Amino acid sequence: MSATTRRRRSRPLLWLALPTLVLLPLVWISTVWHLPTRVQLDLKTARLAFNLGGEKRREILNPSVPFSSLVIEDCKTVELTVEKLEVADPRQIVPGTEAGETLHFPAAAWREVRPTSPVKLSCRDPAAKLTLKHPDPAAARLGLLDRIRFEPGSQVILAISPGQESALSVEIETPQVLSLALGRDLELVADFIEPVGIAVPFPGNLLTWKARLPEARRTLEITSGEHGLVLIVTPARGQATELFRDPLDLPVASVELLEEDLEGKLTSPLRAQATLSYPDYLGVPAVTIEKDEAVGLGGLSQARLRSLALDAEKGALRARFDGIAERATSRAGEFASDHRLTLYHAFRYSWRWGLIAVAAVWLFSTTWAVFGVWKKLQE
Amino acid sequence: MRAAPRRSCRLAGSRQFGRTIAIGLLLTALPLLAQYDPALQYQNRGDRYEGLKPKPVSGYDVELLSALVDYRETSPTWPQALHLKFYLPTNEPVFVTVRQPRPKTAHYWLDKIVPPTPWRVRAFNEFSWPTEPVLRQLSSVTPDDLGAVVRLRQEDPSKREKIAPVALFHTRPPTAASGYRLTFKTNGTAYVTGKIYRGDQEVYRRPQNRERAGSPFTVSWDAKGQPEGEYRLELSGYFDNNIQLAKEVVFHHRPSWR
Repeated sequence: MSATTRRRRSRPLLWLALPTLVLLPLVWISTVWHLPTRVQLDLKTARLAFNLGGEKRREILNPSVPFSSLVIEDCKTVELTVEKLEVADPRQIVPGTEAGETLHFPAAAWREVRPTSPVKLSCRDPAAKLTLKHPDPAAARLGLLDRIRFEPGSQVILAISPGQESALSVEIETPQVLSLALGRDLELVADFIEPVGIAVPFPGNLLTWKARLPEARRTLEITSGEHGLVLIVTPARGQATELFRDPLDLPVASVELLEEDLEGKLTSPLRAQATLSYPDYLGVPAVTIEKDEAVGLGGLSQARLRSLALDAEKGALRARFDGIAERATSRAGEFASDHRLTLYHAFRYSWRWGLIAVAAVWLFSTTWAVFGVWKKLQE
Repeated sequence: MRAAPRRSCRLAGSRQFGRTIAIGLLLTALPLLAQYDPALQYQNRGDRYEGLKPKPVSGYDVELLSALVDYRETSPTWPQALHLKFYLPTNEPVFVTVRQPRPKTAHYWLDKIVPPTPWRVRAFNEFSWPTEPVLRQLSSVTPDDLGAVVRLRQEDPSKREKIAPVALFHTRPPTAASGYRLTFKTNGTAYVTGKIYRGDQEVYRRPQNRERAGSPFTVSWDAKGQPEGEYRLELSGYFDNNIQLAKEVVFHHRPSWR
């Protein structure tokens, strides 16, 4: 048998095997070829950092959040008008000795001082920190926060400050001038804060002040430093759910869900199992991410923080995130999992891609058949 | 004879591969950190490790963030170089960390210093580093934002720590240690009292205060007129959940820095 005849005989076999030889690697490639995927992440976390997207200044908190206590770091100045101002002798403090017992000063510890109008507090020292609280520890509410607007592109860090009453730490990169609405009585714990033009009768960097605000002007104005400020807000008792705007629908450019321990190891801030689902492919089962797994979302587009809520009982932020991610990973120890969908998922679970695939197969097979018929006719 | 080098080569290769994977994972998981120039990220810079790290959140119940000599040189812009100086009272291993006590997002960290000559005992030691590679590139960090800790004996924080107070400066070092500023943070809301002792004698007391989790607080002691010797700062109190809090920081006060 000549070589040409042998080649002619083996050709049909080759043609028969060719689709399998081509399709099999394609099918395999489709299972490992990850696509940018729209994901929805529902989680409870102790910390959430993100860069604001969009082009407009946005608000995250409700326009007037009721709070029972507020810590202010990185302020530049604080101003308020008072009708009576007293400062406590730090040597006469009655410290608490166990949880539930609050430190206080006896009546004799308080000394009235002549206030300036307005009272101006300078936070020039890098360690300056001001705590506002109600003189009556049983009071449920001290005042209302001002509206806080965040610049697009700026970073925001929300973290839960654990304690008997969960507080929310908000790190704001956008400089702010805030005007808080307060009640009549106010206690201020001033750490490295300097009252301007007031003769302070006691030494020390940590002083407690008591102020009575006039009915006509019960506000306190905070001017932040040029790099923003940090607020630790303890929501008014029973009003923790009113902290964030609802609906929130906040555009975000990037999001970070990580903590680091002192040894430098990255850990997860999740406080419960998180769920990662695929809104564009409802047939694909949602992925459960354990609370000790680190989650990373990168290369985001059309990303939004849909909702945020403070879960005071769990001491966590409940968040829903939605967006297209070029990277969606979780990591348990050394093992990373890629949660983006593959070409295979797109073909299997999307009717549009499924239809395109069927049409492609049909086109291929009919073209093949037509080619066969045409070849026979040629012979 | 040949196997060993090949294995070590393979090991080095796999280590490098592992490191690449780890960096890849880190960058994947840290989009906020990854937005900075890779040149700014924490890495070996010859005589030190320096750069940006993700913000630490969790940690020990009470953590010492900074222990500085109370000395500030104002500078609206970053100088060419920063210097640190400390007195080493005894022959012990030295571990220096420069960091932001209150980091905003990704934060500055410098450690693993290799001094040009070994640290000298019973003498002042200095180390300088240029601000150009990292600090000057960080628009939101100012010289006032930096703190430093020089831990002696052990690198990791612990309940009882021995430290050497350190001065950060850019033009002239302090001529005296007239006071100290020690900055801490707790990882839960706590009622904290600070006391400084020389032997059994209390020389300073910071009244009890309610400290919020993660919010740094500073104990500032005016040491003018205090004799040279070993002092002990004790933090005591309790957390909101009634767990007791205790921390001890031992340091040597040397009044004259000439």
